[in-house]
Amino acid sequence: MAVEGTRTETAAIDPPRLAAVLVRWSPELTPPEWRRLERRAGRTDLALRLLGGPVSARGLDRGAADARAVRAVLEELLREGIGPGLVGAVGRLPGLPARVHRRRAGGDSLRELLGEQEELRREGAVPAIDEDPAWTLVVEGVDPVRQRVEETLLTLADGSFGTRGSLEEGGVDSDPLVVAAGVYTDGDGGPVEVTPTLLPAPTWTQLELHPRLTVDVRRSLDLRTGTLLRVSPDPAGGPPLRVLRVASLAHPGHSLLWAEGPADGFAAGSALVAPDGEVTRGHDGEWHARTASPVGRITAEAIDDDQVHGPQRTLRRRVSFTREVASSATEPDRLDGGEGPVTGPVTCEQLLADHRRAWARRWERADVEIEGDPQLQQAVRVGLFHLMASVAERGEAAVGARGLTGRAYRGHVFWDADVFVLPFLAATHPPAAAAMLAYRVARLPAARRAAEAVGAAGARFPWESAHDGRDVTPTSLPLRNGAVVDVLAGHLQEHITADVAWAASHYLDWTGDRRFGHGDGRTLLLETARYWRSRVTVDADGRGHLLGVMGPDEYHAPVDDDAYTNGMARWNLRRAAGSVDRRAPVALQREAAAWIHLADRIVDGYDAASGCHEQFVGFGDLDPPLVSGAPTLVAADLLHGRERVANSRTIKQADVLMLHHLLPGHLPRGSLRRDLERYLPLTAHGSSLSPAVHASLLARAGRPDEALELLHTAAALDLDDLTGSTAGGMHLATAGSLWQALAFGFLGLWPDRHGVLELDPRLPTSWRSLTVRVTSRGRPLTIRATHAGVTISGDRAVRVRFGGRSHNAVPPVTEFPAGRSVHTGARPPAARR
Amino acid sequence: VTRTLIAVDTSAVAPTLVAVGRTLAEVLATDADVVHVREGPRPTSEELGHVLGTPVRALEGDPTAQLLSALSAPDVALGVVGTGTRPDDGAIGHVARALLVGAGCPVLVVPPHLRRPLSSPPRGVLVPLEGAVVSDAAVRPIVDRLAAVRSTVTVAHVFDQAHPPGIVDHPEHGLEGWGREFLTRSGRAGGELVLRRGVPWQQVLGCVAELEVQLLVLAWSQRLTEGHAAVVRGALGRAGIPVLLVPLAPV
Repeated sequence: MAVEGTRTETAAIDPPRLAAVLVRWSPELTPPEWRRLERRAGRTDLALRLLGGPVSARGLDRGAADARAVRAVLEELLREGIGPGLVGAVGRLPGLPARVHRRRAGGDSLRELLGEQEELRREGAVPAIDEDPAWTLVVEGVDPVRQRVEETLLTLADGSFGTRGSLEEGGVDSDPLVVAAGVYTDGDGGPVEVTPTLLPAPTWTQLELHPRLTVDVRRSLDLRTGTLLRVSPDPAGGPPLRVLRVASLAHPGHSLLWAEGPADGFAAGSALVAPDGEVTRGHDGEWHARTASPVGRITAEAIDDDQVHGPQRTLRRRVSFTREVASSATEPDRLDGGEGPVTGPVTCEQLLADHRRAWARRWERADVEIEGDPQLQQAVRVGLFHLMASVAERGEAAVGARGLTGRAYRGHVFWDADVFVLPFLAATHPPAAAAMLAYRVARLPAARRAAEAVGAAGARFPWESAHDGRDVTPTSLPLRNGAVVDVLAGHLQEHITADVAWAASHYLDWTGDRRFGHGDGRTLLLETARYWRSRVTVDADGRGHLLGVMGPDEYHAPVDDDAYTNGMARWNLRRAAGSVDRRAPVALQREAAAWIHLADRIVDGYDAASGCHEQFVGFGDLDPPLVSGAPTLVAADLLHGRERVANSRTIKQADVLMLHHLLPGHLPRGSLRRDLERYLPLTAHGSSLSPAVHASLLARAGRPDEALELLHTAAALDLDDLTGSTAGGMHLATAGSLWQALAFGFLGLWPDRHGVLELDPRLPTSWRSLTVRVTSRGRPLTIRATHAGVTISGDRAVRVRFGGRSHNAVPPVTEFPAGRSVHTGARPPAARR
Repeated sequence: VTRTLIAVDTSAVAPTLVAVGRTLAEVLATDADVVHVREGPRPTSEELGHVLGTPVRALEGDPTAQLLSALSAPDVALGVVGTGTRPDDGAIGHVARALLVGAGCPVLVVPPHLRRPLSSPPRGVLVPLEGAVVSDAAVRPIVDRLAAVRSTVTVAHVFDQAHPPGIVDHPEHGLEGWGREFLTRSGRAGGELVLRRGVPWQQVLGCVAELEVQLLVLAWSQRLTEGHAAVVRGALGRAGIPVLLVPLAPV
């Protein structure tokens, strides 16, 4: 795939398709005339902004026309999702970006431009996108080998419904798919094929294309506005085919396909396709389709507005989806009322404008900027785009391993969601993180039953979860020779229970959400702590053990006293106890005291002499590792065989180090460096979660330049299809871990329980700056680290901690010079201290 | 119309060679063209044709040069040769070896003693693939053809140090999707995939035996020297079934 962003498609269109026009004041633009022009522009959804000119008694002065004023207006438009490529300028204005379409000054010029825009809208012309190289993912041509990977990368989703970026014409190499979060087929435990999977919804992006329009294809995904544009020139000399797609972030459930092209080159065909469902056609271009399983149903309605004017056809297809799911934990037979209104925004233009604005608002509080590494910059934005698109901000969000971008992992919800996806959302868009936690809260009854089934108290969350909270982890892997390999993860990977508690706690640390903290969040903490209390075995010496578990290093299982599992359980007990105050019932206070007592006795494998943690009992006695120490990304178990790997000190992914990643400050001082030295060379990186976590820890340990290789690996994982499996969907947790590496690792950002932000930047020498946007306790912040210092921008004060000292960062901008607190990769660790 | 050129000698293997060659000619919808390079006055083409029950076209001169020349004709879709009765490489004779490395078309190599007969169409076909676009593309037309005549085609892939498996987060999930994509990229969407780990040529031979396939299809770079084409060398010496070698397209 050619992923690049150097060509600007918008510049090639004549006349330009604009969303806003900046006008340099000229004497002929009298107040009455200007008001007339504004009204005229308003009828075409075109934003007009006047700059410069004398002070007017009627208030029409729009201020200066200097570069600062222009920049301010462009920033205002960006907050509406209108980038410079969608902006025209009439008259000479300073500081305009190159992508702005320029016209000569004067009223005539403006009227001519308005006339063109009115004509385009009358024709139903497909709007343009702004092809900013830093924000655009461009796919040139059609590569049968890469096609399904590109479909994944070009997926559009609104948090609830996801549509893969398949070509309109489909084809044998295509894997079109629409899915709805949380809507599964029915299923059970056993081999993977009998477990629930995401229910395919009716697809809506297909068109009937003349073969001549399928040869030269260029697709551009504008990450800033979540719009996908396909352009195919017509070799027969007709107008090019242009297709714009939107899955509305502002109005989840509503999608739009807007096409124009040669009248003899394409036709609408069937607006909805549902191979395993029902499709009916109504009057006047209306379509209705439905797919269903015993536990869920997805309904789609579409309306095609198909117009032919001479040699040109325009098609506007509006689609609305509704999902209904069996009430998950309590009444499996009832189908809840669907969400997503069938009616919606009045016009396609309005839907598009709302959508652009919604995306712009999300980015305003979530973007990450890396100066000095444009390749990484683009990859990070691709990842963040899919993270935001895959999680709804209302109700329950069931976030599968591949989000809404593909069918791999069957939409099952793993610890990936709680530990890797949620932190980004907790820090940038708390309602989405809250929806993810609501998914877990609603499945507490199932988790309690699971605990009871193994004779334990409290709640035990399943390793893999789908619609009702039962464990849907495959229990076996049948081989072709008839042998069956037992899959132990569902039985042994109990750390998920502490991971869910950690997610709730992390959300609370970012948000301070009192209602959740005193309600469902507290319940999650208490119930998971109860599980651990009943699960820990106390030996004759009074030491607590977790026997027969599987940590994140799945190459070794079952093991006793896995450092990660024990460490997380211990943290879970302490955190739950910390949520119990003196006003709590006495019985609960006694429980909390018992949790603390037990937590203090759980062994953690730490050896003070070496300064390292032992990953599990007996790890050090195993055979030498089967990896060379260089980052290799190898599924060592598939290469060498399970048994051989299990008998060696070969690690799949961070285990001891994962504890350092999630619980910084909870482990002995100095142990991060020692554990990194010991365990990183043993790691095969056989998990997509591994590279970024290690990059994060290397940065935190003062080795940011060394961290870059693993960081780039994580960034390229899906863009370059390093696993050969991106066709099945984005590795959403990898995208989340990439953000964590930047925020937690390189910026050293961490929220504590009291709303104080820890900051300890470690920039690689090749970066000029790293900017991360977060929202702490409802206060949006922009934190920018350079080698010279840190600036924190926001509209409200926030407490931050640098180098062990607490500071008040006050609005609008607080600067912290590097000499006081900032570390850079250019200096040796000793100098940093 | 294209031809399948079946090169026979006077050995006892010739009838098998003709039968196998005819089967593949039928699969590929080509004419079977049986040729013999005479190295003496006898047997004549007629005599040989009578023994083999098919017309035999005679060529004169150095067998290697003559057969390479014949195989280079633009209408030849496939060459069929025996491994030779005097192997000089532990597996194949010098003429067969020269044809394999020199021919511009696919060559089917037939061992003297077939472990199991080749039915028409071949019942089981094994196609080991390493996941490279060039090798996928090389074998694709022939494998498509075999699948079209309802041969059961199984793709095999062997993980080894040279082709290690990348990240598979959870094999019970990941292998399903990885395998589906591997097959789709190799043009065998929805087909059968067998995954093995170990020494590739040993694993391929293991699959030949285990799956009881009748035909092995391999893409190769036409280099038989040490350090190259280990699977080809292993298969020619030990598979006991016809091996169809498809040259990679020139880069």
